Amino acid sequence: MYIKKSNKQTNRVRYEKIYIETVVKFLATGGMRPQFVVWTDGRKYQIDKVKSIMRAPAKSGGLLTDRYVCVFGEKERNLYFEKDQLKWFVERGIK
Amino acid sequence: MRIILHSDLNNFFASVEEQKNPELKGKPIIVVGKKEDRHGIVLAKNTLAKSFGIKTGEAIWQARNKCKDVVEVPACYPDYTRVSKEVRKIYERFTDKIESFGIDECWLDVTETARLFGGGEGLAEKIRKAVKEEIGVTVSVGVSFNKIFAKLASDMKKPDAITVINYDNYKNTVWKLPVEDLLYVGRSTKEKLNRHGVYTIGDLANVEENRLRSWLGKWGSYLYSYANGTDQSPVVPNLEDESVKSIGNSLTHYKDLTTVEEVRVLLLMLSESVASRLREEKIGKAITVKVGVIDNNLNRYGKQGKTEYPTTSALEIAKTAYKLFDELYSWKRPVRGVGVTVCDFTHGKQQLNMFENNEKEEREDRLTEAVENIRQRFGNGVIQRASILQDERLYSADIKGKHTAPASNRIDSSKVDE
Repeated sequence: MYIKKSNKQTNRVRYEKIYIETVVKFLATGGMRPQFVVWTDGRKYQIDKVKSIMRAPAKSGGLLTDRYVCVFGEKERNLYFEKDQLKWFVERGIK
Repeated sequence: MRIILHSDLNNFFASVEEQKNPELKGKPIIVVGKKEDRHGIVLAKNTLAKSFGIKTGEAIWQARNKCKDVVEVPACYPDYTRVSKEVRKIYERFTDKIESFGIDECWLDVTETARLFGGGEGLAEKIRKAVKEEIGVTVSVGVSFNKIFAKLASDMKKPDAITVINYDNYKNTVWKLPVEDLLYVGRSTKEKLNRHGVYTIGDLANVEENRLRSWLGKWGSYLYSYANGTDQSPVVPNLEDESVKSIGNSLTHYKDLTTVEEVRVLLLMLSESVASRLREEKIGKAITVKVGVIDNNLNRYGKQGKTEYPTTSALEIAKTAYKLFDELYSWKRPVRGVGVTVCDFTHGKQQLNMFENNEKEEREDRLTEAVENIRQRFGNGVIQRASILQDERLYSADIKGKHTAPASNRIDSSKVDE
């Protein structure tokens, strides 16, 4: 006897992935640092500082992504790098 | 006293697919092989699909009968291999003694390093947390003083959990489990033990070792030590994510096989592939061959036996496989798939028998090497045995691929009865 679970969608937040153009500097000591991103409307946003880099899964999906915690002025945002695709993305919550 | 961990990635293929595509979370999903050529079977399922009674190894249509909304996701072995390698790198932060058991399980000997991380349980917790936070999949970790109990422990709580079996609690935990839960106790061994009134691992542990040997041969001694927690087999570090303790290939055929001749053609192909990989690994010659069979009702059978002499010859492996198949299979149903595995390698050391003619083995070695050289230069399809050329579909199959299914999915599974 197997318990049939309901297929009703929960009210959890879903996240979408937004790939963005990112300009990056490669360091002489190894590694890379994102310098600025170009948003979907063409505006450039300077990254003042990269606070931390760690491997972390993104809520919007993808495998073995690296999370760069970046400071844009007064705001902090996570920028993700997909190594196998060589793409950068940010996430946005959607209902 | 040793501290051994067994780390088991939960619902591995399904978890990787859920991390790739979070839209799948909250839905019953099955990871499937290709539908063409009759490879449409369930390779893995998530917890929700399991709650509908869906089983690994069954056909997709059987799964859909149990849950009409089940989502099918095609398997992507390169992704599973990548993730498995990254998880292994996490283990390597804590010890260099790591032994893989398939793509989703590892034993770790942390005897020398555990004290730096809060003991065995503390180290297990660090691994559990790191895998979840860095990769996005989960593990169940068993902590114990030998490999057998550590593996039983990791099975006890799923997903995302740690279980400790120590000297104080093993009689209340391990000994209460059914005897077929013990590693290497397959269906026929279970039935033999049941006939002698042995139903639990505790029952087995309390039978005299000599009596077990009289029932089961040398396996009786092994199982006695496993059940009593006295197994001393070491965690043997192996390379990458493929165990070098065995090399196997299996194949599901595109039509049901109803004659010995048809099965032998497949066994020969698999033996060729296995022999070729064995030569590449450079770990010596194989002494034991295991044959696995799955019938068209998805019942599994297995048998192992020794080759006439240690060998890397496909023909010798195949001859042993034919003999094992004839002894094993009673043809109640047509055959759907077979697997051939070799194990127990000489690693370069070989006792030459002065009284036997080693010329035959040497001649076959030279032939095998010549064929291998031609294939490496011109491709696998250039030279084939005549029996394989009869069937065009077999001729075009290239089964040498190294990806392995999780231990529980393999046709040539570890639960093989002698």
